[in-house]
Amino acid sequence: MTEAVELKEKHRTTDDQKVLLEVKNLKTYFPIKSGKFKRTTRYVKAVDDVSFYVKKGETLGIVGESGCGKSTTGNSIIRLVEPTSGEVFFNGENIASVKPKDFRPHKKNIQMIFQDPFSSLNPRMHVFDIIAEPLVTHKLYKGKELEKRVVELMEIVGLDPELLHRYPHEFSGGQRQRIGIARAIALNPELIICDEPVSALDVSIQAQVLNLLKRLQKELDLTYVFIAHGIPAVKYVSDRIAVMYMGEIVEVTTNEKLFSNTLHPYTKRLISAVPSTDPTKRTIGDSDAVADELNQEETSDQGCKFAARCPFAQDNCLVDRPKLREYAKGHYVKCHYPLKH
Amino acid sequence: MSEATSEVKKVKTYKRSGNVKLFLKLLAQSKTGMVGLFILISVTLIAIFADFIAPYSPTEPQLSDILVPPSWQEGGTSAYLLGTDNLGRDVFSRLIYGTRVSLIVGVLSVVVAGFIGLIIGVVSAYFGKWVDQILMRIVDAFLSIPSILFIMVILTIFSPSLTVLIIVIGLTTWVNYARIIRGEVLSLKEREFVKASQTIGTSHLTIIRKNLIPNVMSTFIVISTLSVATTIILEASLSFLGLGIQPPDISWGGMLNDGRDYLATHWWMGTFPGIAITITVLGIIFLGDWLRDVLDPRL
Repeated sequence: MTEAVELKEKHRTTDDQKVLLEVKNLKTYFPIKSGKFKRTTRYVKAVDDVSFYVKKGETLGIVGESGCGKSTTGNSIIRLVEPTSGEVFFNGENIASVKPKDFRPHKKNIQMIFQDPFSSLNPRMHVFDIIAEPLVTHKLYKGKELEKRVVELMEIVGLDPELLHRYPHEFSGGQRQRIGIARAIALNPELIICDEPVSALDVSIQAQVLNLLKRLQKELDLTYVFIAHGIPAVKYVSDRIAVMYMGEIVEVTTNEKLFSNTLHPYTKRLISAVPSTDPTKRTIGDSDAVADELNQEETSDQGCKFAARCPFAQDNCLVDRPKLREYAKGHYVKCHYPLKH
Repeated sequence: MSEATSEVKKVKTYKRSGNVKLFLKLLAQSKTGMVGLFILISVTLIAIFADFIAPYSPTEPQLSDILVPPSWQEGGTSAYLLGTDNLGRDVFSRLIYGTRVSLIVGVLSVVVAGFIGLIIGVVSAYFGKWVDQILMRIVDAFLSIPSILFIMVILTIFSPSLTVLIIVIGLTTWVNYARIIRGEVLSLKEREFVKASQTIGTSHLTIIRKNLIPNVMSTFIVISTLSVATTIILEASLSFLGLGIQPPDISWGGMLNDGRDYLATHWWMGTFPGIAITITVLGIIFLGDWLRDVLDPRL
């Protein structure tokens, strides 16, 4: 709790930009049921005490390996998954605690772009119906006006309006993702949560979609929470980056500082795991890269969650859990012994 | 204003291509599908125009012409193409009128069962938790009772009429739909497009109507057509047991029942309704198989 308050006070005093989204001590646990009567025996702590904020107009990248809870964080904000505890402030209102019924109006302001463009579009609906769905749901347009708006949206995302009455399976992955983006911006939302929007696409298409997202941000004054497991995409679009590990944020800072002044050993390993485009600098087999898979069961409740894999772990790392602290201005890290530069 | 109208005109041109043509093209590619459709259309036409096709009244006894063999057999006359039964009624005419009952019972009880099963299956899977638990226990309860026994009990309480028969068959067979549809929806609701609708704020009813039901429709249509076949057989068995359509109404099952006692000596009474059931059921199964391949927009 103190951690979050501290965080909040810091950024409130140092930043002039308005904070659009603020997540405080967000926890999302999934029960594991076992035994004869399906009693809850343990919990998977998918999101474990996560706090961060996003300022209006910026892009916060959330990066981490598979299963670290980054998608669950996004889903918890938009209430696709009900958070176990914690607060989510959107424009100053706590949207994590309102009843599902009262959350509906907020859905207009927070939208989501999904990972898999092949599963995020209903195969039985025309492109028109898909893009029109949010407009119809919130009763914003009707009849000819609706068609006009949908055509306009298709043009904004770079789709040929001639394709209005096609089915999604007639499109390529990149085009499908554009349809998904058109649907997300249809309601003029303030915040868009991009849940790995490019990881299912070819590399050549990835750049196009990322550029589209950047352009839309400027044109429509959007704020993004950009979730991805690949460093390059996050680095390309984000103003600030949060690194997640096993349901916790281990480091948050600006895009430049995260790479120039890496503090957390995990962040360093994550960055070094990105293959270089220079063949002479290949890092395959590098001992620095994270080799083993995440294993939730191995971590104890004590100490730093990364301690077992950390090359710099000291004795107290195994006992004492570090807190997210501001190591340098605007640079938060959850480590007892941040890397020296 | 003129700008707006030109925009509208432009929009008007974004029309989808015709579906009927594609449908016929796909039908032409499948021989079994063609055969199935042909049989089903013929049977339907026979049912509709029975009054014009049948040469004799199906119910009026002609005591002078009892148990006349089919026309090609010794003793048969060209007046009675498929012979007459023990009351001197023309088997061919009775067969034609029997088509009506078999088709009506087959189709309508599938409509009843399919409607209940689809709704229960989708609701159960989509809402999950206790809703699912309760509905699925009800389904289990229905499954644990032998359906023919259940129908027999109901039909002994209520006098068997066409309506009662349809409702009773519908009420016992909906569980099959519910289970299959539930399974489909369980996987569908985890798909991202359902989640996308949820993040938009679409109501549950609209999600069910627009996202879930259209996506289970192909499965639904296939099991429905195949169920028409099994229901026709079920109706025939009930009539055979004397619990189905009561005389003087005619059904193929009832004709089978009448012919049972004469099977050794006058084979035509029971054989022809049996053949009629087989051909109709086969036709429907062919059509159902073909529909399964066709009802997928990705093909």
